[in-house]
Amino acid sequence: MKKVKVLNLFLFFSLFSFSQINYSQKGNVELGLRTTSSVFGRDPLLGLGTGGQARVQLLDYLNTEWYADWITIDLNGAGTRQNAHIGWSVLFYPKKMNRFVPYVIAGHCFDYAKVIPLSTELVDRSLDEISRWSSAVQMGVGSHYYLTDRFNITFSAQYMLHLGKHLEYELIEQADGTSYLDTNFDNQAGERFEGHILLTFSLNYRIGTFFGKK
Amino acid sequence: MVMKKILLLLLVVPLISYSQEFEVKDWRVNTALGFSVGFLTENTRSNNVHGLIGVLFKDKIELRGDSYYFLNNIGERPRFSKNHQIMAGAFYHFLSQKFQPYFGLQTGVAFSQSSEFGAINAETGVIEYKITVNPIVSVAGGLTLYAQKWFMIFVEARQNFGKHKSNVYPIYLDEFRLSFGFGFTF
Repeated sequence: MKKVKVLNLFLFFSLFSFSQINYSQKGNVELGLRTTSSVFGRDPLLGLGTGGQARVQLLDYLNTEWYADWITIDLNGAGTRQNAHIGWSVLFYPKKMNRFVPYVIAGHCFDYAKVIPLSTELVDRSLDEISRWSSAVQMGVGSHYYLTDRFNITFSAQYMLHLGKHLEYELIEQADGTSYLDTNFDNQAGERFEGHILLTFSLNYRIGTFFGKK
Repeated sequence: MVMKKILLLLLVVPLISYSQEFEVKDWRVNTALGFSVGFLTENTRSNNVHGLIGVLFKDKIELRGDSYYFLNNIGERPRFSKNHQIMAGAFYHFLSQKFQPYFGLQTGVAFSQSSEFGAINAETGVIEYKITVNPIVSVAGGLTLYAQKWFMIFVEARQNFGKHKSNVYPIYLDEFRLSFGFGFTF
């Protein structure tokens, strides 16, 4: 009886290990859509973004991500901040846990930002709009979770540090509780670092494994 | 009278053929066109034409793109003169049979224009209403009925989240939408 049980157990585990799939392997190419929230930036305001990405996995433990994002932030009703990111990242997988694949991520992007103050039917503030191109680096952690062998959902948190000149503006609280957006108020703008956290949720589909198939 | 007959035909044909066998495919393409009603705050509704195209793998995971063509806002506070949307994402189909409930997440952009708040252009003296591109996120669930070899019907509910941001006061794009439509699967 004991022998039968041991045999059953052995059979069960061999079946289990046979069914294990290498979900994140060399040669995988994935396409995905993402939504990004920008938090803890220079203003305590939440931004919402949308974008897409492609992943090309170079090694079993190393992936690359090529992405573009469009993020807009409501500056407390006093204006709008628009951000566009286009960049790339490297993902390192220290340990894969079957469907759950955590990673460390680092990368670089080009960044466009524009701040648009509120205009009204009486006041035109279009001359106060400010914009700039800059470069940024980002680093963080994340994880894929594979729902099927081809489809995964991914969540990541990254800190993005802008390297170039940044936009200088200030939200000034007024007596009636509303805010006023003051732009170009500081000509020493470029000398300070600016950073924020990006929380990204994405849906990704593996379109194929194009190299390194075993 | 002719319209009534066509509508009746559209409803009856799928029901007659409902008893046919359903074949799970490695992948299938779904395309459909429908009508969507959106519910905003302050007793306001939106009417939209809803189009979709998706690829469904093994009748389980569907990668899908949707577009909404804004027709109008009616009610106590019509606030947009344009609110066209495109979005894409993935859906999980719970049953691999003719009748497929599904649930998913999409992200996209709204091409929106306020009808309430405009800003004066100091040069021309004209009040302008800017169209801006605003990110949106949408959670959706629905039912698909594969009624015939080439034919499908869908009903869907979704909640959109987002904000119209421009050079004027921001306006929430949050909206609950109900859609139904007909389409082809192949």
